[in-house]
Amino acid sequence: MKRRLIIGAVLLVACSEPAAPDRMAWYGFDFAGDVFRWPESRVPVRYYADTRSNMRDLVARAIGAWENQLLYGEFSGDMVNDSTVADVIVTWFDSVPPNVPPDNGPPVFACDGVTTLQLDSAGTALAEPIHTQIRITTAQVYTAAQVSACLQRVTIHELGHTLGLLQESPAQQDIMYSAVQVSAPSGRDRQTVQVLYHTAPTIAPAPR
Amino acid sequence: MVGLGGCAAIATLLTAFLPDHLTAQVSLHATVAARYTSPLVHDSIVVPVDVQAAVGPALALAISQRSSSPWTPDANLDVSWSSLQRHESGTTSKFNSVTTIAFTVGVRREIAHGLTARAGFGAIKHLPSEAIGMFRAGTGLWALGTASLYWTPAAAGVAHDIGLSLRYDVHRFSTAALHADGFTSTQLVHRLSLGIGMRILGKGATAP
Repeated sequence: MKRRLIIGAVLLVACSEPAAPDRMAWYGFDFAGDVFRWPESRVPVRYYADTRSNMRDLVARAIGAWENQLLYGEFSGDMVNDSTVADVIVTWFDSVPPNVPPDNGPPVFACDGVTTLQLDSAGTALAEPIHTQIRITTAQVYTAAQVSACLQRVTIHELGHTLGLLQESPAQQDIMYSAVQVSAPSGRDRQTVQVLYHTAPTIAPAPR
Repeated sequence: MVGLGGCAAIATLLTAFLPDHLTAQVSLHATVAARYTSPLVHDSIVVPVDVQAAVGPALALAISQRSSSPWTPDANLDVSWSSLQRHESGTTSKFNSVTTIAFTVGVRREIAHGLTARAGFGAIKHLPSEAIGMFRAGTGLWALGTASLYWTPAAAGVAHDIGLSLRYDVHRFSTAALHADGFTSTQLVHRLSLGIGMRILGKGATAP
């Protein structure tokens, strides 16, 4: 009898299934109820980056930061050299900063960005590639290193919008917070993009 | 990464360079098989998501020492290759590929005429082609238990111990990235392979 109990206990342990994490910590990603994300057929997403200064490095680094938030290959991005075949086009808004190592001090708001998704007339698909512009703040004077650190944060934030995170996070610990203060996606950013990439989209990407 | 050609080269070298006195004591057996693997991950992100290695090729090399006992000790190196698939809402998407290397030591004995059984234990390592997503922080070494049957039909080439191999093994699986995402326990993974084997060195029957 004892032997049977031991065998039964071993089988119970061997056959128990691990529970999936609950992923309850996420923020909204829709735009007035509409959801955009890249479908399987459009992955890897093609990114074109301005060739001036270190924009290509910033974009490649930001793509990698987001790719690593998804466990099962739901999103990936490739850099392309021709903007006419790109799904996302990232450019400088006006001035081009020097390429210097980033400052390691407290975050300052030395730059910002804008990402634009243009819907077609039916409102069910993007009409054109997504455009992201990165701008250097001129209201105050910052060091080139402070600008460089800001550009890393803001590029990841703006590329989050290009993945379909269409809202700002309410928490300042997240990369998708409106005034970006962290240098990498948080656990909540990760859960949010994971939930997004398993939610049915209502907006399709622009045709290639 | 060890490729199919690499394993064949190892077998050829062993065959060519092992001294005669050693080949009189040991035999080397090779098996080529197709392998099924149960899901590596059961997740739930809005909808159930399973990650599973597709059916793929496997190559095993077994070395055993001749013995007067009915129990014969042996060592087995098993390598398999497969793409990783994500199953979700009735769709299947390939997102990475993985090579698995398993090494076991065990014993075998003939349980009926032409039929040999083997049991063993050892370790298994998963080597993804891309260290991204669930593999972004690497994989561990997992304990493995295995049982197999080897049938040599009387009509087949007894001289080379040509026969059919049926192998089952079981191990637990997780990754550091899955753990970081909230998977607090590991997944039990079953593998089953069916293949054809033959002795390529030495004398006597072996059951890889």
